[in-house]
Amino acid sequence: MAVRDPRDVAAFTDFADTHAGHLFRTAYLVVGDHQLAEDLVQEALVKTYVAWPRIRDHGKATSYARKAVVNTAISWRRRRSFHERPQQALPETPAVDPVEGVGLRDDLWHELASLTPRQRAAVVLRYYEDLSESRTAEVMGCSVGTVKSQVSAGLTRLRARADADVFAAEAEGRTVTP
Amino acid sequence: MTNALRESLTRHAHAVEPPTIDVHALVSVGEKRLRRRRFGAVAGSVLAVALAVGVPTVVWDLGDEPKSVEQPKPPGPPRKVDEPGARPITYGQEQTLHLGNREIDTGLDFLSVAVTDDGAALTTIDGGIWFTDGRTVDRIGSTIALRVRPRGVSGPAGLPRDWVITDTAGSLLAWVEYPGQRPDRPELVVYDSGSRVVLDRRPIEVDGGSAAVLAVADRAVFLAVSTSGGRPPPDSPLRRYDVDTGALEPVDEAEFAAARRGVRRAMVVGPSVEAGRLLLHWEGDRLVNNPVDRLTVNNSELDDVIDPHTGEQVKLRLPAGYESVGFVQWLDDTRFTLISYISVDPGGLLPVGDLLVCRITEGQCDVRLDRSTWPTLSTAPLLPGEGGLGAEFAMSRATQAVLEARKGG
Repeated sequence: MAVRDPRDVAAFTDFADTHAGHLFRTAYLVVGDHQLAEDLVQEALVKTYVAWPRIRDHGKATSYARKAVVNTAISWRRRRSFHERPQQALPETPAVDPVEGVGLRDDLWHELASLTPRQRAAVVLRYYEDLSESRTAEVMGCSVGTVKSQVSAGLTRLRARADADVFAAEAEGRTVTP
Repeated sequence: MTNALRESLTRHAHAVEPPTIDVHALVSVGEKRLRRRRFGAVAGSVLAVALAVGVPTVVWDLGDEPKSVEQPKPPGPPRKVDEPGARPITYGQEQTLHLGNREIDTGLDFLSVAVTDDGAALTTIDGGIWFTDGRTVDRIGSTIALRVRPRGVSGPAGLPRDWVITDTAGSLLAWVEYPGQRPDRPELVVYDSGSRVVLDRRPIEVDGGSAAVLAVADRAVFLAVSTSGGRPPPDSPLRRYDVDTGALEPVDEAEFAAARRGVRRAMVVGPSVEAGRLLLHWEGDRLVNNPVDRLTVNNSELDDVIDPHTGEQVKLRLPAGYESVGFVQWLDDTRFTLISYISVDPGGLLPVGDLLVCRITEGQCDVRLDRSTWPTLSTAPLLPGEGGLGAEFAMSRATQAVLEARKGG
Protein backbone atom coordinates (compact mmCIF):
# COMPACT_ATOMS: atom_id res chain seq x y z
CA MET A 1 0.00 0.00 0.00
CA ALA A 2 1.31 3.45 -0.88
CA VAL A 3 2.50 5.65 1.98
CA ARG A 4 1.66 8.84 0.13
CA ASP A 5 -1.87 10.06 -0.51
CA PRO A 6 -2.95 9.22 -4.10
CA ARG A 7 -3.59 12.93 -4.75
CA ASP A 8 0.02 13.68 -3.80
CA VAL A 9 1.21 10.91 -6.09
CA ALA A 10 -0.83 12.35 -8.96
CA ALA A 11 0.42 15.88 -8.30
CA PHE A 12 4.01 14.69 -8.12
CA THR A 13 3.64 12.69 -11.33
CA ASP A 14 2.38 15.78 -13.14
CA PHE A 15 5.23 17.80 -11.74
CA ALA A 16 7.88 15.23 -12.72
CA ASP A 17 6.48 14.82 -16.24
CA THR A 18 6.52 18.56 -16.76
CA HIS A 19 9.89 19.45 -15.27
CA ALA A 20 12.13 16.42 -15.74
CA GLY A 21 13.45 17.69 -19.08
CA HIS A 22 14.50 21.07 -17.78
CA LEU A 23 16.00 19.55 -14.63
CA PHE A 24 17.97 17.16 -16.80
CA ARG A 25 19.41 20.01 -18.88
CA THR A 26 20.49 21.87 -15.76
CA ALA A 27 22.00 18.68 -14.38
CA TYR A 28 23.83 18.07 -17.66
CA LEU A 29 25.36 21.54 -17.60
CA VAL A 30 26.41 21.12 -13.98
CA VAL A 31 28.08 17.72 -14.41
CA GLY A 32 28.76 17.58 -18.16
CA ASP A 33 27.90 13.91 -18.38
CA HIS A 34 24.70 12.55 -19.88
CA GLN A 35 24.45 9.39 -17.76
CA LEU A 36 25.38 11.13 -14.53
CA ALA A 37 22.86 13.87 -15.28
CA GLU A 38 20.15 11.26 -15.70
CA ASP A 39 21.10 9.65 -12.37
CA LEU A 40 21.05 13.07 -10.74
CA VAL A 41 17.60 13.95 -11.99
CA GLN A 42 16.22 10.62 -10.87
CA GLU A 43 17.74 11.02 -7.41
CA ALA A 44 16.53 14.62 -7.16
CA LEU A 45 13.00 13.61 -8.15
CA VAL A 46 12.94 10.79 -5.60
CA LYS A 47 14.03 13.25 -2.92
CA THR A 48 11.32 15.62 -4.07
CA TYR A 49 8.73 12.84 -3.85
CA VAL A 50 9.80 11.94 -0.32
CA ALA A 51 9.64 15.61 0.69
CA TRP A 52 6.43 16.34 -1.22
CA PRO A 53 4.10 16.99 1.78
CA ARG A 54 6.66 19.37 3.24
CA ILE A 55 6.68 21.41 0.03
CA ARG A 56 3.42 23.13 0.88
CA ASP A 57 3.48 25.43 -2.12
CA HIS A 58 3.84 23.03 -5.01
CA GLY A 59 4.87 25.96 -7.16
CA LYS A 60 8.11 25.79 -5.20
CA ALA A 61 8.68 22.16 -6.04
CA THR A 62 10.81 23.23 -9.00
CA SER A 63 13.09 25.15 -6.67
CA TYR A 64 13.33 22.16 -4.35
CA ALA A 65 14.14 19.75 -7.16
CA ARG A 66 16.70 22.14 -8.69
CA LYS A 67 18.31 22.52 -5.29
CA ALA A 68 18.46 18.73 -4.96
CA VAL A 69 20.05 18.45 -8.42
CA VAL A 70 22.70 21.06 -7.72
CA ASN A 71 23.63 19.95 -4.24
CA THR A 72 23.68 16.27 -5.10
CA ALA A 73 25.83 17.09 -8.13
CA ILE A 74 28.27 19.06 -6.03
CA SER A 75 28.60 16.29 -3.47
CA TRP A 76 28.96 13.58 -6.12
CA ARG A 77 31.55 15.55 -8.04
CA ARG A 78 33.46 16.36 -4.88
CA ARG A 79 33.56 12.68 -3.96
CA ARG A 80 34.65 11.67 -7.41
CA SER A 81 37.44 14.20 -7.59
CA PHE A 82 39.14 13.41 -4.31
CA HIS A 83 40.37 10.01 -5.37
CA GLU A 84 41.00 10.65 -9.02
CA ARG A 85 44.10 12.16 -10.47
CA PRO A 86 43.64 15.74 -11.71
CA GLN A 87 43.60 14.76 -15.36
CA GLN A 88 40.93 12.22 -14.57
CA ALA A 89 38.89 14.38 -12.26
CA LEU A 90 36.39 15.28 -14.92
CA PRO A 91 35.89 12.28 -17.12
CA GLU A 92 33.47 14.06 -19.38
CA THR A 93 31.25 12.12 -21.69
CA PRO A 94 32.66 8.62 -21.43
CA ALA A 95 30.34 7.50 -24.17
CA VAL A 96 29.19 9.93 -26.84
CA ASP A 97 28.74 13.60 -26.15
CA PRO A 98 25.72 14.68 -28.20
CA VAL A 99 27.23 18.12 -28.55
CA GLU A 100 30.32 16.70 -30.20
CA GLY A 101 27.97 14.98 -32.58
CA VAL A 102 26.89 18.27 -34.12
CA GLY A 103 30.49 19.21 -34.70
CA LEU A 104 30.71 22.29 -32.50
CA ARG A 105 34.01 23.30 -31.08
CA ASP A 106 33.18 25.25 -28.01
CA ASP A 107 36.15 26.14 -25.89
CA LEU A 108 34.08 27.60 -23.08
CA TRP A 109 32.09 24.41 -22.79
CA HIS A 110 35.18 22.29 -22.56
CA GLU A 111 36.85 24.70 -20.14
CA LEU A 112 33.88 24.41 -17.81
CA ALA A 113 35.30 21.03 -16.94
CA SER A 114 38.25 22.71 -15.29
CA LEU A 115 36.06 24.49 -12.72
CA THR A 116 35.42 23.15 -9.25
CA PRO A 117 31.95 21.65 -8.71
CA ARG A 118 30.71 24.71 -6.82
CA GLN A 119 32.13 27.15 -9.36
CA ARG A 120 30.50 25.27 -12.20
CA ALA A 121 27.15 25.07 -10.43
CA ALA A 122 27.24 28.80 -9.64
CA VAL A 123 28.07 29.67 -13.25
CA VAL A 124 25.28 27.46 -14.60
CA LEU A 125 22.69 28.88 -12.22
CA ARG A 126 23.69 32.47 -12.99
CA TYR A 127 24.17 32.22 -16.77
CA TYR A 128 21.86 29.40 -17.84
CA GLU A 129 19.08 29.55 -15.28
CA ASP A 130 19.42 33.35 -15.11
CA LEU A 131 18.97 33.31 -11.37
CA SER A 132 19.88 36.33 -9.29
CA GLU A 133 22.80 36.08 -6.91
CA SER A 134 20.45 35.74 -3.96
CA ARG A 135 18.40 32.99 -5.65
CA THR A 136 21.61 31.22 -6.63
CA ALA A 137 22.76 31.42 -3.02
CA GLU A 138 19.45 29.96 -1.90
CA VAL A 139 19.73 27.03 -4.30
CA MET A 140 23.34 26.32 -3.36
CA GLY A 141 22.71 26.76 0.35
CA CYS A 142 25.40 29.40 0.77
CA SER A 143 25.75 33.16 1.17
CA VAL A 144 25.49 35.73 -1.62
CA GLY A 145 29.13 36.56 -1.00
CA THR A 146 30.09 32.94 -1.63
CA VAL A 147 28.13 32.95 -4.88
CA LYS A 148 29.94 36.12 -5.99
CA SER A 149 33.31 34.65 -5.19
CA GLN A 150 32.52 31.31 -6.86
CA VAL A 151 31.25 32.98 -10.03
CA SER A 152 34.16 35.39 -10.09
CA ALA A 153 36.71 32.61 -9.63
CA GLY A 154 34.98 30.54 -12.31
CA LEU A 155 34.91 33.35 -14.84
CA THR A 156 38.52 34.25 -14.13
CA ARG A 157 39.52 30.69 -14.75
CA LEU A 158 37.50 30.47 -17.96
CA ARG A 159 39.02 33.75 -19.18
CA ALA A 160 42.52 32.56 -18.40
CA ARG A 161 41.92 29.34 -20.30
CA ALA A 162 40.34 31.16 -23.22
CA ASP A 163 43.29 33.58 -23.37
CA ALA A 164 45.71 30.67 -23.28
CA ASP A 165 43.86 29.14 -26.22
CA VAL A 166 44.08 32.40 -28.13
CA PHE A 167 47.83 32.55 -27.56
CA ALA A 168 48.23 28.93 -28.53
CA ALA A 169 46.16 29.42 -31.65
CA GLU A 170 48.09 32.53 -32.61
CA ALA A 171 51.35 30.66 -32.17
CA GLU A 172 50.01 28.03 -34.53
CA GLY A 173 48.77 30.66 -36.97
CA ARG A 174 45.12 29.79 -36.45
CA THR A 175 42.30 32.31 -36.12
CA VAL A 176 40.28 32.26 -32.92
CA THR A 177 37.08 34.10 -32.11
CA PRO A 178 36.95 34.57 -28.33
CA MET B 1 32.65 36.84 -22.30
CA THR B 2 29.51 36.30 -20.24
CA ASN B 3 27.30 36.58 -23.33
CA ALA B 4 29.37 33.94 -25.07
CA LEU B 5 29.15 31.80 -21.96
CA ARG B 6 25.39 32.21 -21.73
CA GLU B 7 25.03 31.31 -25.38
CA SER B 8 27.33 28.32 -25.06
CA LEU B 9 25.42 26.95 -22.05
CA THR B 10 22.06 27.37 -23.74
CA ARG B 11 23.29 25.76 -26.95
CA HIS B 12 24.71 22.74 -25.16
CA ALA B 13 21.67 22.38 -22.90
CA HIS B 14 19.39 22.20 -25.90
CA ALA B 15 21.68 19.98 -27.93
CA VAL B 16 21.08 17.10 -25.52
CA GLU B 17 17.92 15.07 -25.65
CA PRO B 18 16.49 14.55 -22.17
CA PRO B 19 15.97 10.88 -21.41
CA THR B 20 12.55 9.47 -20.78
CA ILE B 21 12.15 9.38 -17.03
CA ASP B 22 9.99 6.58 -15.69
CA VAL B 23 8.08 8.56 -13.09
CA HIS B 24 6.20 5.50 -11.84
CA ALA B 25 9.51 3.81 -11.07
CA LEU B 26 10.63 6.92 -9.18
CA VAL B 27 7.41 6.91 -7.18
CA SER B 28 8.07 3.27 -6.36
CA VAL B 29 11.60 4.06 -5.13
CA GLY B 30 10.23 6.99 -3.12
CA GLU B 31 7.59 4.77 -1.54
CA LYS B 32 10.26 2.27 -0.58
CA ARG B 33 12.28 4.96 1.17
CA LEU B 34 9.23 6.17 3.02
CA ARG B 35 8.44 2.65 4.19
CA ARG B 36 12.02 2.17 5.40
CA ARG B 37 11.75 5.31 7.49
CA ARG B 38 8.62 3.96 9.07
CA PHE B 39 10.25 0.61 9.76
CA GLY B 40 13.15 2.37 11.40
CA ALA B 41 10.86 4.27 13.72
CA VAL B 42 8.89 1.13 14.61
CA ALA B 43 12.09 -0.83 15.29
CA GLY B 44 13.11 1.68 17.94
CA SER B 45 9.74 1.37 19.63
CA VAL B 46 9.90 -2.42 19.67
CA LEU B 47 13.31 -2.41 21.32
CA ALA B 48 12.08 -0.02 23.96
CA VAL B 49 9.16 -2.35 24.70
CA ALA B 50 11.47 -5.36 24.75
CA LEU B 51 13.69 -3.76 27.34
CA ALA B 52 10.81 -2.53 29.41
CA VAL B 53 9.06 -5.87 29.74
CA GLY B 54 12.12 -8.11 29.84
CA VAL B 55 13.43 -10.74 27.50
CA PRO B 56 11.49 -13.86 28.46
CA THR B 57 8.17 -12.34 27.39
CA VAL B 58 9.44 -10.81 24.17
CA VAL B 59 10.46 -13.50 21.77
CA TRP B 60 9.46 -13.20 18.15
CA ASP B 61 9.91 -16.24 16.06
CA LEU B 62 12.05 -15.42 13.05
CA GLY B 63 12.56 -18.95 11.95
CA ASP B 64 9.54 -19.85 9.86
CA GLU B 65 7.65 -16.75 8.88
CA PRO B 66 9.94 -13.77 9.22
CA LYS B 67 7.89 -11.81 6.68
CA SER B 68 11.09 -10.57 5.17
CA VAL B 69 10.64 -8.11 2.35
CA GLU B 70 14.29 -7.97 1.43
CA GLN B 71 15.78 -11.29 2.33
CA PRO B 72 16.16 -14.11 -0.12
CA LYS B 73 17.17 -17.56 1.02
CA PRO B 74 20.88 -17.99 0.40
CA PRO B 75 21.90 -20.22 -2.46
CA GLY B 76 23.26 -23.42 -0.95
CA PRO B 77 24.18 -24.17 2.65
CA PRO B 78 26.20 -21.49 4.44
CA ARG B 79 29.59 -22.39 5.82
CA LYS B 80 31.38 -21.55 9.02
CA VAL B 81 35.11 -21.74 8.70
CA ASP B 82 38.23 -20.58 10.42
CA GLU B 83 40.84 -19.44 7.98
CA PRO B 84 44.56 -19.16 8.67
CA GLY B 85 45.72 -15.65 9.42
CA ALA B 86 42.21 -14.29 9.78
CA ARG B 87 40.21 -13.31 12.80
CA PRO B 88 37.29 -15.69 13.17
CA ILE B 89 33.73 -14.53 12.78
CA THR B 90 32.91 -13.64 16.37
CA TYR B 91 29.62 -13.08 18.12
CA GLY B 92 27.86 -13.91 21.35
CA GLN B 93 24.58 -15.74 21.84
CA GLU B 94 23.30 -15.84 25.39
CA GLN B 95 26.20 -17.32 27.41
CA THR B 96 27.93 -18.78 24.37
CA LEU B 97 30.73 -17.06 22.49
CA HIS B 98 31.22 -18.11 18.88
CA LEU B 99 34.82 -17.80 17.73
CA GLY B 100 34.64 -19.13 14.19
CA ASN B 101 33.97 -22.84 14.48
CA ARG B 102 34.48 -22.87 18.23
CA GLU B 103 31.59 -22.46 20.64
CA ILE B 104 32.70 -21.44 24.12
CA ASP B 105 30.22 -21.85 26.93
CA THR B 106 31.46 -18.97 29.08
CA GLY B 107 28.99 -19.31 31.93
CA LEU B 108 28.76 -15.51 31.85
CA ASP B 109 25.94 -13.14 30.94
CA PHE B 110 28.37 -11.01 29.00
CA LEU B 111 27.38 -7.62 27.63
CA SER B 112 30.00 -6.85 25.01
CA VAL B 113 32.55 -8.54 22.78
CA ALA B 114 35.86 -7.01 21.68
CA VAL B 115 37.97 -9.03 19.26
CA THR B 116 41.76 -9.31 19.03
CA ASP B 117 43.95 -11.58 16.93
CA ASP B 118 44.10 -14.03 19.84
CA GLY B 119 40.49 -14.28 20.95
CA ALA B 120 37.87 -12.02 22.45
CA ALA B 121 37.36 -9.89 25.55
CA LEU B 122 33.99 -9.96 27.25
CA THR B 123 32.50 -7.62 29.84
CA THR B 124 29.96 -8.37 32.53
CA ILE B 125 27.55 -6.22 34.45
CA ASP B 126 29.60 -6.44 37.64
CA GLY B 127 32.46 -4.64 35.89
CA GLY B 128 34.33 -7.82 35.05
CA ILE B 129 36.60 -7.92 32.01
CA TRP B 130 37.31 -11.42 30.70
CA PHE B 131 39.39 -12.87 27.93
CA THR B 132 39.04 -16.15 26.10
CA ASP B 133 41.23 -17.68 23.43
CA GLY B 134 38.69 -20.47 22.88
CA ARG B 135 40.20 -22.78 25.49
CA THR B 136 39.87 -20.90 28.79
CA VAL B 137 37.93 -17.90 30.02
CA ASP B 138 39.96 -15.75 32.43
CA ARG B 139 39.23 -12.55 34.24
CA ILE B 140 41.85 -10.02 33.18
CA GLY B 141 40.57 -6.82 34.73
CA SER B 142 37.70 -4.89 36.13
CA THR B 143 36.07 -1.58 35.74
CA ILE B 144 33.18 0.06 37.52
CA ALA B 145 30.17 -2.17 38.04
CA LEU B 146 26.81 -1.10 36.76
CA ARG B 147 24.09 -0.50 39.31
CA VAL B 148 21.06 -2.67 38.71
CA ARG B 149 17.65 -1.53 39.86
CA PRO B 150 14.27 -2.96 38.94
CA ARG B 151 13.62 0.03 36.71
CA GLY B 152 16.93 0.08 34.94
CA VAL B 153 20.69 0.04 34.94
CA SER B 154 23.04 2.93 35.59
CA GLY B 155 26.71 3.50 36.18
CA PRO B 156 29.44 6.00 35.53
CA ALA B 157 31.12 3.65 33.11
CA GLY B 158 28.30 4.26 30.67
CA LEU B 159 27.64 1.83 27.89
CA PRO B 160 29.43 -1.50 27.58
CA ARG B 161 31.20 -0.39 24.41
CA ASP B 162 33.31 1.92 26.53
CA TRP B 163 34.66 -0.92 28.59
CA VAL B 164 37.22 -2.56 26.33
CA ILE B 165 38.62 -1.15 23.12
CA THR B 166 40.65 -3.05 20.53
CA ASP B 167 42.14 -2.33 17.13
CA THR B 168 41.00 -4.06 13.94
CA ALA B 169 44.31 -5.94 13.92
CA GLY B 170 46.77 -6.98 16.61
CA SER B 171 46.67 -8.08 20.22
CA LEU B 172 46.20 -4.87 22.19
CA LEU B 173 43.26 -4.14 24.44
CA ALA B 174 42.77 -1.00 26.51
CA TRP B 175 40.27 0.04 29.13
CA VAL B 176 39.90 2.33 32.12
CA GLU B 177 39.90 0.94 35.65
CA TYR B 178 38.86 2.72 38.81
CA PRO B 179 40.83 1.62 41.89
CA GLY B 180 38.58 1.54 44.94
CA GLN B 181 35.60 2.03 42.65
CA ARG B 182 36.39 5.77 42.64
CA PRO B 183 35.17 7.15 39.31
CA ASP B 184 37.37 10.22 39.72
CA ARG B 185 40.59 8.20 39.77
CA PRO B 186 40.77 6.46 36.44
CA GLU B 187 43.70 4.36 35.36
CA LEU B 188 44.47 3.39 31.80
CA VAL B 189 45.18 -0.35 31.46
CA VAL B 190 46.82 -1.72 28.33
CA TYR B 191 46.77 -5.48 27.87
CA ASP B 192 48.46 -7.78 25.35
CA SER B 193 46.25 -10.76 24.55
CA GLY B 194 49.11 -12.53 22.75
CA SER B 195 51.31 -12.78 25.83
CA ARG B 196 48.33 -12.47 28.22
CA VAL B 197 49.98 -9.74 30.32
CA VAL B 198 49.13 -6.22 31.40
CA LEU B 199 51.63 -4.01 29.58
CA ASP B 200 50.94 -0.88 31.60
CA ARG B 201 48.66 0.60 34.19
CA ARG B 202 48.77 4.36 34.20
CA PRO B 203 46.85 6.90 36.36
CA ILE B 204 45.14 9.54 34.23
CA GLU B 205 45.09 13.11 35.53
CA VAL B 206 41.50 14.28 35.25
CA ASP B 207 41.22 16.67 38.21
CA GLY B 208 38.01 15.14 39.47
CA GLY B 209 36.70 14.46 35.98
CA SER B 210 36.72 11.32 33.92
CA ALA B 211 38.51 9.49 31.13
CA ALA B 212 37.44 7.15 28.35
CA VAL B 213 39.45 5.11 25.86
CA LEU B 214 38.41 6.17 22.37
CA ALA B 215 40.56 3.98 20.16
CA VAL B 216 43.50 1.67 19.86
CA ALA B 217 45.31 2.47 16.64
CA ASP B 218 48.36 0.41 15.82
CA ARG B 219 50.67 0.87 18.85
CA ALA B 220 48.88 3.86 20.35
CA VAL B 221 45.91 4.26 22.66
CA PHE B 222 43.80 7.41 22.43
CA LEU B 223 41.82 8.74 25.37
CA ALA B 224 39.44 11.59 25.99
CA VAL B 225 39.71 13.30 29.34
CA SER B 226 37.24 15.61 30.96
CA THR B 227 37.37 17.66 34.12
CA SER B 228 33.62 17.90 34.37
CA GLY B 229 32.84 14.32 35.33
CA GLY B 230 30.58 11.89 33.52
CA ARG B 231 31.29 10.69 30.04
CA PRO B 232 33.82 13.01 28.32
CA PRO B 233 31.94 15.16 25.80
CA PRO B 234 32.97 15.03 22.11
CA ASP B 235 35.21 18.10 22.31
CA SER B 236 37.18 16.85 25.31
CA PRO B 237 40.96 17.12 25.29
CA LEU B 238 42.69 14.07 23.84
CA ARG B 239 45.70 12.09 25.03
CA ARG B 240 47.85 9.63 23.15
CA TYR B 241 49.56 6.80 24.99
CA ASP B 242 52.49 5.26 23.13
CA VAL B 243 52.60 1.56 23.95
CA ASP B 244 56.28 1.22 23.04
CA THR B 245 57.67 4.26 24.88
CA GLY B 246 55.06 4.65 27.61
CA ALA B 247 54.71 8.34 26.75
CA LEU B 248 51.31 9.88 27.46
CA GLU B 249 50.86 13.25 25.82
CA PRO B 250 48.19 15.61 24.49
CA VAL B 251 47.21 15.36 20.83
CA ASP B 252 44.78 17.32 18.72
CA GLU B 253 41.77 16.10 16.77
CA ALA B 254 43.67 16.10 13.48
CA GLU B 255 46.39 13.79 14.83
CA PHE B 256 43.78 11.52 16.32
CA ALA B 257 41.82 11.36 13.10
CA ALA B 258 44.94 10.70 11.03
CA ALA B 259 46.02 7.88 13.34
CA ARG B 260 42.61 6.24 13.14
CA ARG B 261 42.50 6.45 9.38
CA GLY B 262 45.96 4.96 9.26
CA VAL B 263 45.07 1.67 10.93
CA ARG B 264 45.66 -1.39 8.85
CA ARG B 265 42.02 -2.30 8.43
CA ALA B 266 39.48 0.43 7.96
CA MET B 267 36.97 1.82 5.52
CA VAL B 268 35.48 5.26 5.44
CA VAL B 269 31.87 6.18 4.77
CA GLY B 270 31.42 9.74 3.61
CA PRO B 271 32.24 12.27 0.95
CA SER B 272 36.00 11.86 1.40
CA VAL B 273 38.61 10.08 3.50
CA GLU B 274 39.09 13.24 5.54
CA ALA B 275 35.44 14.04 6.08
CA GLY B 276 34.05 10.52 6.42
CA ARG B 277 33.44 8.19 9.33
CA LEU B 278 35.42 5.03 9.90
CA LEU B 279 33.90 1.60 9.66
CA LEU B 280 35.75 -0.48 12.22
CA HIS B 281 33.05 -2.51 13.93
CA TRP B 282 29.32 -2.54 14.49
CA GLU B 283 28.05 0.95 15.26
CA GLY B 284 24.46 0.62 14.16
CA ASP B 285 24.77 2.27 10.75
CA ARG B 286 22.44 1.01 8.06
CA LEU B 287 23.98 1.04 4.61
CA VAL B 288 21.67 0.77 1.64
CA ASN B 289 22.87 -0.01 -1.86
CA ASN B 290 21.47 2.28 -4.49
CA PRO B 291 21.60 2.16 -8.27
CA VAL B 292 24.65 4.37 -8.79
CA ASP B 293 27.19 2.37 -6.78
CA ARG B 294 26.85 4.61 -3.79
CA LEU B 295 25.34 3.91 -0.42
CA THR B 296 22.63 5.68 1.46
CA VAL B 297 23.65 5.69 5.09
CA ASN B 298 20.93 5.82 7.74
CA ASN B 299 18.41 7.19 5.24
CA SER B 300 20.56 10.24 4.77
CA GLU B 301 22.72 11.52 1.96
CA LEU B 302 24.37 9.34 -0.62
CA ASP B 303 27.85 8.44 0.45
CA ASP B 304 30.76 6.46 -0.81
CA VAL B 305 32.59 3.70 0.97
CA ILE B 306 36.28 4.48 0.58
CA ASP B 307 39.42 2.51 1.21
CA PRO B 308 41.49 5.11 3.13
CA HIS B 309 44.77 3.56 2.06
CA THR B 310 44.13 3.86 -1.66
CA GLY B 311 41.48 6.57 -1.69
CA GLU B 312 39.50 4.35 -4.02
CA GLN B 313 35.78 3.85 -3.76
CA VAL B 314 34.76 0.39 -2.56
CA LYS B 315 31.80 -0.78 -4.59
CA LEU B 316 29.96 -3.36 -2.55
CA ARG B 317 28.21 -5.96 -4.62
CA LEU B 318 25.69 -7.61 -2.39
CA PRO B 319 24.06 -10.85 -3.53
CA ALA B 320 20.72 -10.36 -5.25
CA GLY B 321 17.94 -9.36 -2.92
CA TYR B 322 20.11 -7.84 -0.20
CA GLU B 323 19.66 -4.11 0.19
CA SER B 324 20.28 -3.02 3.77
CA VAL B 325 23.39 -4.10 5.63
CA GLY B 326 25.44 -3.03 8.61
CA PHE B 327 29.20 -3.31 9.03
CA VAL B 328 30.24 -5.84 11.69
CA GLN B 329 33.88 -6.93 11.84
CA TRP B 330 37.22 -7.03 10.03
CA LEU B 331 38.53 -10.54 9.44
CA ASP B 332 41.85 -9.73 7.78
CA ASP B 333 43.38 -6.97 5.67
CA THR B 334 40.91 -7.43 2.84
CA ARG B 335 37.84 -9.11 4.26
CA PHE B 336 35.09 -7.95 6.55
CA THR B 337 31.61 -9.04 7.60
CA LEU B 338 28.23 -7.40 7.17
CA ILE B 339 24.88 -8.31 8.64
CA SER B 340 21.73 -7.79 6.64
CA TYR B 341 18.62 -6.05 7.86
CA ILE B 342 15.37 -7.89 7.51
CA SER B 343 11.84 -6.76 8.03
CA VAL B 344 10.28 -8.35 11.07
CA ASP B 345 6.59 -8.11 11.82
CA PRO B 346 6.12 -6.62 14.33
CA GLY B 347 9.38 -4.79 14.73
CA GLY B 348 10.35 -3.29 11.41
CA LEU B 349 13.75 -3.43 9.81
CA LEU B 350 16.26 -5.07 12.15
CA PRO B 351 19.90 -6.20 11.78
CA VAL B 352 19.20 -9.87 12.39
CA GLY B 353 19.52 -11.28 8.87
CA ASP B 354 22.29 -13.22 7.20
CA LEU B 355 25.97 -12.62 7.89
CA LEU B 356 27.96 -11.87 4.74
CA VAL B 357 31.69 -11.94 4.17
CA CYS B 358 32.93 -9.30 1.70
CA ARG B 359 36.29 -8.62 0.12
CA ILE B 360 37.35 -4.98 -0.02
CA THR B 361 39.38 -5.43 -3.20
CA GLU B 362 36.43 -6.69 -5.21
CA GLY B 363 33.47 -5.58 -3.13
CA GLN B 364 32.18 -9.11 -3.61
CA CYS B 365 30.05 -10.48 -0.76
CA ASP B 366 28.96 -14.04 0.01
CA VAL B 367 26.60 -15.42 2.61
CA ARG B 368 28.49 -17.12 5.43
CA LEU B 369 25.85 -17.60 8.13
CA ASP B 370 22.15 -17.48 7.46
CA ARG B 371 19.54 -16.08 9.75
CA SER B 372 18.48 -19.50 11.02
CA THR B 373 21.65 -19.27 13.16
CA TRP B 374 19.64 -16.93 15.38
CA PRO B 375 16.09 -18.28 15.11
CA THR B 376 14.52 -15.86 17.61
CA LEU B 377 15.15 -12.22 18.38
CA SER B 378 16.33 -13.10 21.88
CA THR B 379 19.11 -15.18 20.30
CA ALA B 380 20.13 -12.33 17.97
CA PRO B 381 23.92 -12.13 17.78
CA LEU B 382 25.80 -9.90 20.19
CA LEU B 383 28.17 -8.31 17.68
CA PRO B 384 31.67 -6.93 18.29
CA GLY B 385 31.52 -3.19 18.96
CA GLU B 386 28.24 -1.72 20.08
CA GLY B 387 26.65 -5.13 19.87
CA GLY B 388 23.56 -4.56 17.77
CA LEU B 389 20.21 -5.95 18.81
CA GLY B 390 22.00 -8.73 20.72
CA ALA B 391 23.44 -6.13 23.11
CA GLU B 392 19.96 -5.02 24.12
CA PHE B 393 18.94 -8.56 24.97
CA ALA B 394 22.27 -9.29 26.67
CA MET B 395 21.79 -6.33 28.97
CA SER B 396 18.23 -7.37 29.70
CA ARG B 397 19.30 -10.94 30.48
CA ALA B 398 22.12 -9.81 32.75
CA THR B 399 19.83 -7.41 34.58
CA GLN B 400 17.22 -10.10 35.14
CA ALA B 401 19.87 -12.50 36.42
CA VAL B 402 21.01 -9.94 39.01
CA LEU B 403 17.46 -9.21 40.10
CA GLU B 404 16.61 -12.90 40.39
CA ALA B 405 19.80 -13.58 42.35
CA ARG B 406 18.77 -10.83 44.79
CA LYS B 407 15.36 -12.40 45.20
CA GLY B 408 16.95 -15.77 45.83
CA GLY B 409 19.44 -14.24 48.29
